[in-house]
Amino acid sequence: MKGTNLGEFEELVLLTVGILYDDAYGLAIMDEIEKRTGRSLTISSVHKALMRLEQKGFLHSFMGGATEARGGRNKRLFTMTNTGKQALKEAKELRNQMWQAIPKVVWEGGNI
Amino acid sequence: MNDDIKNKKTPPRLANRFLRWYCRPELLDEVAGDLYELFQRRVVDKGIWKAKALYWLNVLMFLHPDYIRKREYSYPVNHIAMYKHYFTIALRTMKRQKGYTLINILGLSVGIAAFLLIVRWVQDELSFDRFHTKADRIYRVSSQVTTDTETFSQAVTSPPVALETQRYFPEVENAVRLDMNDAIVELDKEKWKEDRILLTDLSFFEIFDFHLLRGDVRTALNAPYQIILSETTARKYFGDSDPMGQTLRIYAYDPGGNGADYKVVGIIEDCPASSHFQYDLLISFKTYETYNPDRLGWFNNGLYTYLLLREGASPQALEAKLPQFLELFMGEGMKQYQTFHTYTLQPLKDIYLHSELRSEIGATGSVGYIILFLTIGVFILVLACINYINLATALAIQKTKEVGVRKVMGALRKQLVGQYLVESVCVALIALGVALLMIEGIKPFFYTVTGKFNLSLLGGNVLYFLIPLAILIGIVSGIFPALLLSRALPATVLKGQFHPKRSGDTLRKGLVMFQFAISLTLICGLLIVHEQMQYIRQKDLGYDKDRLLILRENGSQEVKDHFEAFKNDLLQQPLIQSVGCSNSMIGGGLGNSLATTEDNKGNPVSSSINKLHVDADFTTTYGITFLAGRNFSGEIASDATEAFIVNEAAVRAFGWPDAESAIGKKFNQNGEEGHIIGVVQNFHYNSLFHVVEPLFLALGDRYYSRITIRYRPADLNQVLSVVGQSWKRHFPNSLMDYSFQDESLESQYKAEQRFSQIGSTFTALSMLIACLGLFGLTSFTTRQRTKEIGIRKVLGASTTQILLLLSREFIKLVLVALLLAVPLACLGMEAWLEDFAYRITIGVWPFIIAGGSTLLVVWLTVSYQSVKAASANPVASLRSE
Repeated sequence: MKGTNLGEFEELVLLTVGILYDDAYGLAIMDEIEKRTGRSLTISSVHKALMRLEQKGFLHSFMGGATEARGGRNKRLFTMTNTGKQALKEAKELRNQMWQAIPKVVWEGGNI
Repeated sequence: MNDDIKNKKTPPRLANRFLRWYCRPELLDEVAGDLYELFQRRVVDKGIWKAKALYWLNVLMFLHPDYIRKREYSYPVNHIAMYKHYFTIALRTMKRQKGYTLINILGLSVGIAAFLLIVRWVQDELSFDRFHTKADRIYRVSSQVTTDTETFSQAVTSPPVALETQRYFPEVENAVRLDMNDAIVELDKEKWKEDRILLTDLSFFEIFDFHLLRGDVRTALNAPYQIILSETTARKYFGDSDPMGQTLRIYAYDPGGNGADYKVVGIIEDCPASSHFQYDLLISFKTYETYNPDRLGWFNNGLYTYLLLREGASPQALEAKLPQFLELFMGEGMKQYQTFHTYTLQPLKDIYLHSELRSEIGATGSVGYIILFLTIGVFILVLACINYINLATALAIQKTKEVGVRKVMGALRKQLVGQYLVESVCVALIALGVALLMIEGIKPFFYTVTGKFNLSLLGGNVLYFLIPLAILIGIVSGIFPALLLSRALPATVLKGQFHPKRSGDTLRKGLVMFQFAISLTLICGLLIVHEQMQYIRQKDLGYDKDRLLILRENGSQEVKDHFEAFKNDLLQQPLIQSVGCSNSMIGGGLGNSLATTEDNKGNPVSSSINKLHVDADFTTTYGITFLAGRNFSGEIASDATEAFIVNEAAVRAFGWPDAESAIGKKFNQNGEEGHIIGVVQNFHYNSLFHVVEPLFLALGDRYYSRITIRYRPADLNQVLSVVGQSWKRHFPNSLMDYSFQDESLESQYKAEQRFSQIGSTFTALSMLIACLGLFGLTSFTTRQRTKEIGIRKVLGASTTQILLLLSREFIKLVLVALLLAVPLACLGMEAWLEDFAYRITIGVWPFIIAGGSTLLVVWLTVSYQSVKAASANPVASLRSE
């Protein structure tokens, strides 16, 4: 089994799958991330991330939704598994804890 | 609806096929679908071409192990062990077949070495003037001049062009004038002759990338009689002491003829060899302006003008505006002199290879030679590869059993092909190593032949493409034998029925023929070049070019003042036959002007005519024949200003029926009026690339620049010491600068000489490679036929008959090759000969000689093996089984 830690990009993808809910497939995910972060991505990197996430058990996928706009090709639609949701929660939790661990003085512009 | 379908853009089909081919089928749908959507969106946003390109990019970016389809039937193979095995076998084969391997490696390495040298030479030729950072924006102004009788293009323009274009056209950022001189330089009573003195403006450093090592770029060359030395020149004159601020006495632009003092204001880096003009010393242009204030006008053509255009300025647009500019400044003058100029801009980078104008600033190269040599280089490499193919296919027959066994053991065809390719690549790599050693060895020879002395042969980026090149050579020459070998069917081969006749025999013959066709073409071409050069050397020039010693005055006042005494002194010597003077040497062309005279009916006619100022003894010294009239005479006072002698070509140009009728005709040239007193036979005062044009001779005033001495047959050193002693006695302060007429003439054809020298080297190489191949091939075929020879001998055939039998086949090939080579060589050499005004016609002899000698060489190569086979005892060959 591959490691179950969540990379920064993987986390973004996982979150986006959640946002898109019932239409989460490669291109839509790429668009959404680009829109929200302003980064420019390549489709292959999104696909690879999705594949990795599925291998780690965070995502579940099924085929469907062929349209004229796709030249009659099926989409691979992704939904989050419970493990995926758990992983996101843990990531957020960890972040929160670490945020709180930063002394207040840092935010008030104190120098050493 | 229909339109809709048509307008629907589809992604590039090839990319799609590629994707389908590599992508795992279960992932194909999603990937292809996403890419399709993306593509359609991009067609709208960015246009069809960009969308297609990005589609390709995306397809390629999916090349990732996770997406690549797993091949069926793939099972783990220990590739390393396999390759190790290939190498072992390759080495063993080489060891077993020492002779063939040697021939293969030798042939290939000679081919590679020759090819590399040619590539290096071409690379250098192409690199001229690229080192200037602003090279793309620098243009030389050249002019096309049209007179009544002729139109020609020259590299020179007049002094005001640089300044006025800069003032008149906003797109000209900067401009510089150059002039090339030679002069005597004196320091502490010692004198040297300097040939590469460049006269230039201050802007020289702003336009070109020559770096001033010492001195101030802003002020150096800003005043008259200032000089900048190259590093080497500085060391030559001043050694380790500081040259800055020192003076050198130079016999140039000096009003008194006794030299002028030039102050050293800077040291410049040595001129890079890849500049189309060369310098050792730079003199400020202000010097010229101070010395020649009356020669700064629009019609004093003699300077090279380079313009630096502004970023983004179009040279075509500027060129289009030049006629208007010329009209403004030179319009009146052009009408008055009936000499019309048009200006063109030559890109700096094109000058060295593409410019062939009158009065070029330095030697230029030729694209023609580059193409020719590259072709030869590629051909030599191909010849070497052919050798390999020939020998390998011939050897293939011996290897078929090995192939059969391997196949029985389960070897796949592509594995066998791989094995033989490994072998040929090995040979090619070894050959590359040997080639590099060879190049090291023939370096000095290469330098002398090409005249490029500071060329690093293996430095720079050459090495980057060597290994891939060797691998390519290995694959190209190995692929055919490999395919042929691996085709063998195990069953038939192991039964011993693989017929050599059917395996690549025709191909082998064809290749050998091709090799000899190329070699023969080269030999024929070379013989024709040689014949033409011989013709030029022996052509009657209209005067006797042997035993002529030419001394240059180099503007020395002393020589001018005491010339008569020197001449009388020389004429006392038994070795000296006569002494004549002229204002130019003959052989390299002369200046021209316009002359007006009258035709037979008394109507005025004008023609452009070359001019040469001489003294009364000039024609006798050179041995020029008079057709009519008389020579100049010292006794007739009016000769000094009113007498002219013309040549035959002038008689024809002015339309007089014969030489006699020219005598006494009025002659007007540049305001000097007089009569024609004599007609001389045409003599070649220009190289044989040019026809003899109209010429007149006139007595000059006392300012001659060349003294020609005709000496009696004697030892050269003796002549030089006699002349040298008199020179020292009369002109103690001047350097004796001499040359021999025949040598100077020879040097005009240096480029052709070099061409023929390089050509012969490569011809010899191609012949060597072809013969090496043939040698290997015959030794193989004779061995194949040992039994046949044995039987023939038993049946009573003589050694001669067998020899004939064995060599007949190859002789036939050479004859067919000759048939191919004749038209090729004829076409090529006709084109080359076209440049010469005086040339040979191509006869049969070069072809007979080339064919004959090749046949002889082929026959010798073949018979070395054949004699051995033919004289062997048949019992020995028949018993072996």
